[in-house]
Amino acid sequence: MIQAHGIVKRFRRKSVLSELDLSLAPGRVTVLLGRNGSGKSTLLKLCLGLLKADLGTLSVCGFDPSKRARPVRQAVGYVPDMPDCYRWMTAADLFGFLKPQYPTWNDDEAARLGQALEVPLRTPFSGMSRGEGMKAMLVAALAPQPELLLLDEPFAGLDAVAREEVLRAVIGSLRDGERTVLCTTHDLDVAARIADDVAVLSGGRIDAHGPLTEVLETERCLPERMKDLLVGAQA
Amino acid sequence: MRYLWKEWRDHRAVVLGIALAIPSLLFLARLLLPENMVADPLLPQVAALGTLAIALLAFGTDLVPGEARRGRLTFLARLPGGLPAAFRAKAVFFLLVLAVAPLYGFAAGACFSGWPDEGLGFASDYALLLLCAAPWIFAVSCWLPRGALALPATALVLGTFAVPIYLLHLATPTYYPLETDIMTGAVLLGIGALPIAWLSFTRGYRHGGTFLSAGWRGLAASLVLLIPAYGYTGYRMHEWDTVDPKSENFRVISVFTGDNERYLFANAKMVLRHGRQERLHALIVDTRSGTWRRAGTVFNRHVGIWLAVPARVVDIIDPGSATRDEHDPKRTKYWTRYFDADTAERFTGGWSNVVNDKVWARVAASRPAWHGSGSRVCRLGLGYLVQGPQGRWQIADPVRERVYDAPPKMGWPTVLREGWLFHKNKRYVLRDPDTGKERPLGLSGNCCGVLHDGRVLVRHGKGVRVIDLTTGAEAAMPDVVSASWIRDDIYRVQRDGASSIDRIDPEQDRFEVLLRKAGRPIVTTRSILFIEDDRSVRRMELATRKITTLFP
Repeated sequence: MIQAHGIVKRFRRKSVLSELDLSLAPGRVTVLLGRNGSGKSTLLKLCLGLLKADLGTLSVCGFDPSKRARPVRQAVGYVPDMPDCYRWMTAADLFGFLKPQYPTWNDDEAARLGQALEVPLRTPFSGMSRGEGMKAMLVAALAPQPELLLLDEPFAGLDAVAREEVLRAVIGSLRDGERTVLCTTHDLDVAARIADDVAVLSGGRIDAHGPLTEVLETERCLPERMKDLLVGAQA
Repeated sequence: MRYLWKEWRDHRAVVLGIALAIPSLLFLARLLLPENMVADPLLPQVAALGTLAIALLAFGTDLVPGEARRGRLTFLARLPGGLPAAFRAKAVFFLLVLAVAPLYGFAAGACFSGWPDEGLGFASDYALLLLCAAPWIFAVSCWLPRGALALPATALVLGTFAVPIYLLHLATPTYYPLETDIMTGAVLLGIGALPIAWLSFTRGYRHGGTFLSAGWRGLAASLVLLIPAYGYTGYRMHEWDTVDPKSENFRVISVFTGDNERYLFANAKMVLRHGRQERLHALIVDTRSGTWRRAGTVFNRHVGIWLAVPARVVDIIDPGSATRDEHDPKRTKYWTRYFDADTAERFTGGWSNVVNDKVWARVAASRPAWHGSGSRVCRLGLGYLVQGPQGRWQIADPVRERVYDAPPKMGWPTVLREGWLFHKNKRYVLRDPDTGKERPLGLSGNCCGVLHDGRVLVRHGKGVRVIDLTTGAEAAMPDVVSASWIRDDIYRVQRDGASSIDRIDPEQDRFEVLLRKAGRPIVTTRSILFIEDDRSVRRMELATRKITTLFP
């Protein structure tokens, strides 16, 4: 679903990704772990065609997102770390705005998810809580029934209840292994609950990638504290 | 349509605000200003322009910077439609606003002052220029982090772009573009700004680009767009300043020469833009070598061949010098500069045009000449009319070897051996210039020439007669309707609607046709120069009647 080889991305002189290789198999839920500024969001934006790699090749759903952004974006659902649409928009406005752009948009799915997550359809984003806004963004990302779901720290800043609701929605959207998910998060509990695989981004490259248990066995670079937390959460 | 709806939702408050503000302002104007000002038919036009300007400032400067300021560019960029779809909606929204705003302002103004008869009137020209500038404001705003900077930045950018064209104009100060050139250029530049805005927005902000990447892309594209404009302007300037006598567009207007016929002083023009634009050129042609050169710049012209010779002459012989005028478009002054007709060199010495007179005028190079510098001369029969010092008109009489002040309120006489011939009460009288005595001749008509033997040609009714004023003998000229003297024994003669250049035979009292089609002839002692079909200067030798082409 995602094939990245030798990806290099610099911002001015600062190198964020360096010779990054990553391969995501279809139907797997991969949690991308890494410290702040390690390049997790940058990688997601590369996958969406919002950024262009300086070097390397990247294929998302069979397309190079820097050259064929439209088919990639139609096949990918993206949830940012905070609602990024217009504040005057309501969830209904947002869905109406997005619908013509996604051939696979499913109104029923949008309605079902909106109802399940109790998204206020007629409230502008400016009047929503952060949790309500993130749930609306999640519904907007899932309604087109994307092959690939990119989640950029969607649980950050949510209270426990909201986080649980969003998490359940994500888990519920996995469609039994049909949908590929790449999720960046600092929330190790979340990682432990949804991850089939874990990829550890460190020093601009993937330092470890594999099933959670294998990475925990072999991971040397991950700080011990994070490792303990992960183990604790899994238990 | 969804993007367009998004733009409407994003800006509807501003649209509605303007829509309410314009009539409110007009209402306030009606309350506060004198009624005649509010009822002025210009009010709708001013309102239309004002509304357009407000809309231009409100939306042209904010559609893109506002998006960036609110941090929504990433949202637009991550959607399948991406930035191109957002740009299309912004451009359409902007153009719709620009189209509706002046009409709305005009209608609002018309509600207060009535519908003006001339419609948009003067506002249409300004509105068109504003509409041409609008896409540039929109494009330049894509390059800036703050929309408020868009207006001065657009002025700076357009001003900078205009510098090469301005410099080209400086090099060719006489050039004047056609109004259609200006409007076509403005419209093309206005339309051209839209792809620049598209490039700046969609390519500048994609892949995480900032206003800086949008800016350099836009500037680079602008230069690419302007290169043809610079090239075309340069071509027009070059074309403007070029004389090509072999061109289909070349025309000869008039020509002068000295008696030695060594140099032709030709006024010519190049007809451009299918006759909508003309450039005049003063040329000096060497008839021996066939080479030619320009005298001065575009729009200079040779005024005429003047009857004058360098200082302290004993008699007036013609011609002595040719002149041309120089027109300075900046100061709108005329300089008269002189050329010696025999050498084609600039003539800066003194001269006189009056028998045995001293030098009246000394014309220095580049000095604005005063009309009436003592060198305006024309023939009056056997004598000359000259304009002397302080512009005083005088008559030089070679028969009596004196210079007389021109008699006031009597018109110009024809100087004859017998006296001066005046037209008085539709009859001719002969006046002795020394005593002032007048003798009625019982002669009517118009004197149109004097023969060497002193007889006069008089046109009367539909015929011309030769009259000896001493003896009273008359002879009719058969078939001739009218005749006008050119020089010596050469006349332009009219016969039954056909004009020709003729030589008079005083022995036979009849005209002999020399040339049937001769445009603007110049007669020298040896030949007649004439312009054929507006394209070439030809010469007929009087002795042999052989015709040759002198130029080009």
